[in-house]
Amino acid sequence: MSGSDDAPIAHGGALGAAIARFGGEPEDWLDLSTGISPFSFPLPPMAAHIWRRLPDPAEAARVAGLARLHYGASVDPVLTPGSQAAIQLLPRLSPSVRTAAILSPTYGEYDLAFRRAGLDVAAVDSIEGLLGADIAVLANPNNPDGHRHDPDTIASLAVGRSGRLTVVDEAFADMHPELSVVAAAGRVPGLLVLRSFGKVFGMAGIRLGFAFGSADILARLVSGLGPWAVSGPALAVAAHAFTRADLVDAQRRRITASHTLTRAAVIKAGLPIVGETALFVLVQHGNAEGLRDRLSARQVLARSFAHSPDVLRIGLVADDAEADRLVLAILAARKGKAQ
Amino acid sequence: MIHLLILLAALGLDRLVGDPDWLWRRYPHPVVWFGRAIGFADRRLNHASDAPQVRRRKGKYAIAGLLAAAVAAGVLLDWGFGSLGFVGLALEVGVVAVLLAQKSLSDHVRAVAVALRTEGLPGGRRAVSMIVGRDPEQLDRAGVSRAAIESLAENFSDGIVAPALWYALAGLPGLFAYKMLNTADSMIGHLNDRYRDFGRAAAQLDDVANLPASRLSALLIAFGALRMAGPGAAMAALGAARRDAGLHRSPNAGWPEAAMAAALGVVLAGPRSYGGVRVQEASLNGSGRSSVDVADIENGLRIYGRACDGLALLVLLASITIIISN
Repeated sequence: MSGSDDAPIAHGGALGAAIARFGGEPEDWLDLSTGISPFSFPLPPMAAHIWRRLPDPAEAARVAGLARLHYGASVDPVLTPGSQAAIQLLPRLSPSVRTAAILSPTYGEYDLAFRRAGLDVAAVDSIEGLLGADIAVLANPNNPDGHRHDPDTIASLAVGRSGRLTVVDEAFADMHPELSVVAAAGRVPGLLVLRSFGKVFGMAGIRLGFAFGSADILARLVSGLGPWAVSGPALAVAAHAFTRADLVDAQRRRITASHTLTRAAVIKAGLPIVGETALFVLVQHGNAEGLRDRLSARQVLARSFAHSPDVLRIGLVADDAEADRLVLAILAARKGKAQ
Repeated sequence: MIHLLILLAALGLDRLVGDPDWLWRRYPHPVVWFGRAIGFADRRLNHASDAPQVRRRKGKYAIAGLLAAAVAAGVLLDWGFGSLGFVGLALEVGVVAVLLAQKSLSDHVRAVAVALRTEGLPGGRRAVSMIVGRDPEQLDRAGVSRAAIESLAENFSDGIVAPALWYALAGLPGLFAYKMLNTADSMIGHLNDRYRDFGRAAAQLDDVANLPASRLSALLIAFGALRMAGPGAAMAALGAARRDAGLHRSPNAGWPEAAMAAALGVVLAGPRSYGGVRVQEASLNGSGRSSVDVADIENGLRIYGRACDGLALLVLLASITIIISN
């Protein structure tokens, strides 16, 4: 990698920057730049004390227990204000860490967090490449290419690394439970599984994630996060979500239907799909950044990647009207003669 | 050399006289002849029963034939004018002036501004429907103003700069071929079922033919902005043209439109809803002001006037350069 180690990474969801460049009001835009569900989970009634009081540790412990059931884990997780907070702390979760290996390309904040901590970071392209480093990171399914890894292979990797920290980012695994190694977390030394609440529940704004792992790692994570890391409203929302299996099922069905709509729209617009998860599709285009700009000029926001200039990530459309809008925008944004 | 001087005279004549109605009420405008030839080719060769490949091939033959006819007419007239001496020169100035549209474009766009000022939105809609294809009933005041300015910028390129450029490069045959092609594009260069295949060759050739003029027109609009509003506006126009032209689905129209948008500090084009259907046009200079109004049309016309001056100045400089170097 070149450039400054400390330069912030451009992420999806940066609607404000897009508006500054291309104009319009937030409500004019169709923001498909993230892998966050277009449907927000219904909110529970919020008691007034949720806003007034500090978040109750007992409530946090209850949510951790519910999360264990919800995700099918073997241990209670540590609650984090989003996966990002856990990522920041990774270099401090095991003693005397010097090297890190990341199965790449993937979510860019791992590389940045490790570099900022002064680690020697290697971007590797196979699971075997992860064996040696003090910290190993892989995402399953991967973002942005949707690549899926066999959970048995991942578990073997973690076992083979004999206790050194193995991070499995399952931020996009909610709709693909067969890929998850969350049940092994806490049983395999060094294995840490990160789950994201905001993506599948359409609530990235509340900043909530879960870290499942062995007790020593989780203890260091807790001390790194400090008290009251997760807000009271976030606890209330999660407790509600994890006790409403009926609504969770409905949420999953809506996401699956949206995914089908999004796929069909992209194919109809003539873009080949080269990767996907339930929450986004990755399409190929010779000049993805140019296409992203031409879509932005039509107030449709997609995500391009500096590391892969020939792919564009497109999040889920919510309904037929958004699907039609996406098709027309792509058709118009690809070069051609006006009507 | 002589072409450049004729062009200079024609630009002056067109600026002053334009296309007088009394003339074209008596005689058909040359572009009407082109249109008839294109309509004839369309009726004879474009059949819905043909396979798409056949329609494409016939579309190629049609535009090739039409261009050959236009070039032949240009060569013939060139020869005819050449044998008439001074009278021939004057006639050629007249013919070139007829195929430029400086005054008629500014008259039509000014009519929108005047109608908006004197009759309000209904008048503006009626006036703007004379120059753009979109449904005027769906436009608000800003929409009417925007449509007028977009039309001004785009037609500056393909109604003035492009014919001037092709005449300067290739005389009457070049000018006639360009006007034939551009007329064909507006008649058969559409993406609907009837013309998607048959009009394809014409549309693609038109894109190529307008490529140099669209860039030059952005430069000239920046020159107009320089004269009207100073170096800041000119730099903004050039920057926006370079940055935003590629956002437009036409490879050419984005250049003058983005330059004009930034020169005025407004957003042009852009997505909007017509009767619930969202039209997917790229916004140009998207960070600009979206409340476009009559004053912007009038400022656009001032910039346009200075840009036309710039074109004449360019032709004059080219003539002088050639005279000196000979």
